[in-house]
Amino acid sequence: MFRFKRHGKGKPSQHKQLKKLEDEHQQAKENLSKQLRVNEEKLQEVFKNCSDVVFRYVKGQDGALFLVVYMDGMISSQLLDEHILKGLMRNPHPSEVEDSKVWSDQLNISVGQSKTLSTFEQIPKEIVRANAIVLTEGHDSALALDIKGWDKRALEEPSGESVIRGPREGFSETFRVNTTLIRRRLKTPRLKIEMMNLGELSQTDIGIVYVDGLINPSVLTEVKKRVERIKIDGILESGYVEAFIEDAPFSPFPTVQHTERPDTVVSALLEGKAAVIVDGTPFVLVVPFTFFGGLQASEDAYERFMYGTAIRWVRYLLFTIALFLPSVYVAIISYHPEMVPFNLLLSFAAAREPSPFPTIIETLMMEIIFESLREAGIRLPKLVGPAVSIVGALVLGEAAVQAGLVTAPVVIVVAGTGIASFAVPGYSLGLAYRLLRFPMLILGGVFGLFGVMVGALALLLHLVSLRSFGVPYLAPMAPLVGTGMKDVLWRAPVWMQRVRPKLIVGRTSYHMPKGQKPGPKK
Amino acid sequence: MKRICIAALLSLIFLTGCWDSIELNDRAIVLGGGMDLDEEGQYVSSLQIAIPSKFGQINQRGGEAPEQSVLVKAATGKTAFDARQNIQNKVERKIFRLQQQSFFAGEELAKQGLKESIDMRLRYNDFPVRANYSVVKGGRSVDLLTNTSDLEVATSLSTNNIQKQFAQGVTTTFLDFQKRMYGPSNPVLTAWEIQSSPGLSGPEQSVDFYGLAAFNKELQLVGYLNEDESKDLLWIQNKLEYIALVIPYGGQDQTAGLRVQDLKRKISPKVKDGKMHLHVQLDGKGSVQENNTNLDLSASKDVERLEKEAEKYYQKRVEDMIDKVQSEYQTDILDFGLTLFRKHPQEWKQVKQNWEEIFTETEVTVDVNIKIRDVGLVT
Repeated sequence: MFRFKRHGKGKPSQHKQLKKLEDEHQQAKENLSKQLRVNEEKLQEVFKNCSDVVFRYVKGQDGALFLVVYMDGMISSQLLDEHILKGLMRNPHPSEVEDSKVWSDQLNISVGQSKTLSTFEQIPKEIVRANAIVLTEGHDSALALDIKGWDKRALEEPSGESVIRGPREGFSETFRVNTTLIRRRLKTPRLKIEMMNLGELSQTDIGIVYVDGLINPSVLTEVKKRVERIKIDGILESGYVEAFIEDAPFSPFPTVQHTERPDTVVSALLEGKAAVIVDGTPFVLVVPFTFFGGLQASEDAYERFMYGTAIRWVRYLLFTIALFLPSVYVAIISYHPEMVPFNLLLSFAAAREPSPFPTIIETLMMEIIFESLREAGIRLPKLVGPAVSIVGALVLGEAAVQAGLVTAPVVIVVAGTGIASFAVPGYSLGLAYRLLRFPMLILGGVFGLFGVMVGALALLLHLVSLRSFGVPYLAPMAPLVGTGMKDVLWRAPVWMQRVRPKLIVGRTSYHMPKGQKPGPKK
Repeated sequence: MKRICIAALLSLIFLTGCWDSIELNDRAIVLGGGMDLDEEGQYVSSLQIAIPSKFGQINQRGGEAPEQSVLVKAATGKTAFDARQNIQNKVERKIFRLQQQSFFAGEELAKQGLKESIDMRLRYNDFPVRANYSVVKGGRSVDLLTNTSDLEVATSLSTNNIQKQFAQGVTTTFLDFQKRMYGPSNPVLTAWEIQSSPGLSGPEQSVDFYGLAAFNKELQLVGYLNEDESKDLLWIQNKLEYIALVIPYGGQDQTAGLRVQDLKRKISPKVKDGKMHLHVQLDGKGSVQENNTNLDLSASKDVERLEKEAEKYYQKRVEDMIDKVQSEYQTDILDFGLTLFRKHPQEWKQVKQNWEEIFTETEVTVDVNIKIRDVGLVT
């Protein structure tokens, strides 16, 4: 049923629940007590029914007693046993000191990152972040030790963006792994990673990555502003963040890029863009994003420029086909058969003889069936996959044509369109084409070529007016920036692409000095 | 408000529907058409319609006799327009004329004048202007259309292809006819003849290319030019790519075959003593393809002799043709008026009114210059 928009911040009942949780946490914000028992009871209360939280008492030297609290599964048992527990067992009781923050110096623990916590509310936060908390009698501060060690997926080639030439490392679900992949490729302190937490319950780590001095300051402030104002209970994937920060939620075209490849992110950072890493997903967001960025694959830059240019032209042709072929076919066959060379027309007419449906209905039917196949194919178990694809090809293709339900040219058109829509490297941009060809098809089928032209014009108008974080969507073609054209219509060799994209960076800046063309020095 | 507007616009799609959409299998695709005049002076419109199922790749089988892949319908009417409307009643699908490849006019109609049948076509846009326009010599276009051809599937297509071979791509489309009709010179159309020849199972009929048909200002057929004369005309009109000449040399059946290319023509009009003079200069470069004479073509003197003989022979041929056109047909199809119009527009303005008479009185001199470029691999 329809849901009418409320003018307010979300549904009232959800709002109340969030408020209640916040209040509870407020109460726990008291200071730690010097008594171990009191602290332990408070912690047990907070972690009631959390069966994976472990409270471990360790007896040290001379009657010292320490309490280690940690989250099982998230920490590395090896580090816990060998460094913390062993270290504590040899430790005498830390004596009273003036500054409560310094008692940790008296512990023989060899763990890299550690911090001292002085308020109670920080303790549960650190525990859920895979830190072990050490408490002891007589001190009203706790020590948090970072011993992260949960199971991670090994670095694999990203499935959606594979290349023939180029690195095969893809991002992983762990935040630190992702920042490392970027840091390894840009070994400079100018690479800044600003962190924040989003999501009340998920407390997801979000990192905004940029290169200081390259990024347009206004873009950076805009990105930070938009990310910081997100208020939601859980961020599961970067798609949630994308939905909150994008410029045009009602446009079929994405204004935020997402990628699994570190080299794509790094080359974007070098162009003055900003990246947003979200913990828990290998998809990293890159802003700002332009139309032509979506048509480029990182492979273009690694192969030689002639090949890159040719492939780029093929890609342009294919995305035009993906968008216009079904609608133009239907428009020409139904309204303008005089445009077709007559031999071809006679073949089409011969094919159409037995068919009972009008061309537009046929094409719509086949397009919908194709989309269903595609959607079903995503969820197919691997064993059944080949069998189902054979069924799809044989049954739908051959048998339907033989039975006279659909015509062979329509099958060709739909198959060609489907293949062409995979040529677009950015998956989300490809989705836009897949979506848009249906309205185009209807326009072409109802209003003929005039309808197709109107649709194309409307699309163009929409694209021209779209902006991504202040950068016009069709830059560098509209508004025309001469120096930027080297990577749009053709792919200039790397030594020719000196200038950074002006509209993104905000000023003229160069990747490299002049005179880099290879060849004997004159 | 914005939403209401968008909803209203979207509903246009369903309200207006697709009124102009005609499915391809509801159309009768016309390949060729014709217009004739019958004995009572009624116009007969005929159409050669393709049967699509016979054209598809799936249906073609080698070795069997080709089945009837086109069908011909005809209807009469008081005027050309009337006949055209009447023919829709005889065809099951909506007639689609825009893919038509050729159009024929029967001889009777051409003699009476094409003006009436053309008027409708100039006014209304449902006519294939790039269809080839031809005349049927000594016959009716209906008979030509009902003829079956061997290599192509329909006569309307085969005539186009034959024409392409003859004149190397010179087409006489309806558009050309229209252009020349309004211009200073008069139009020509290709002419086809239906010939009977003995065949395997009784007399077979075939459609042969005759040449060109000449028209006067009133768009009446005045005469035909056979193949040789047609080629000369095309050279003068600067539309020919090459011409193959068989040159008689001396007596005793000695001939040489010459292929002349790089054809150029220059028409220079002059007014002398109140009379119009026209000089036609034709240039070409020849290569000897066949030598049945006693000439030794390795000697340059002999080659010169052959050149002169060729020029003499061809000059006579062209002069005969121009003579025929001037005195018998009395119609300026040689582009003379056009050249005068382009080169001396003031003088053209003066003679425009009486051009037909002045054309017959014009003195025409022809000069042919053929240079033999190579004599082949052997002498």
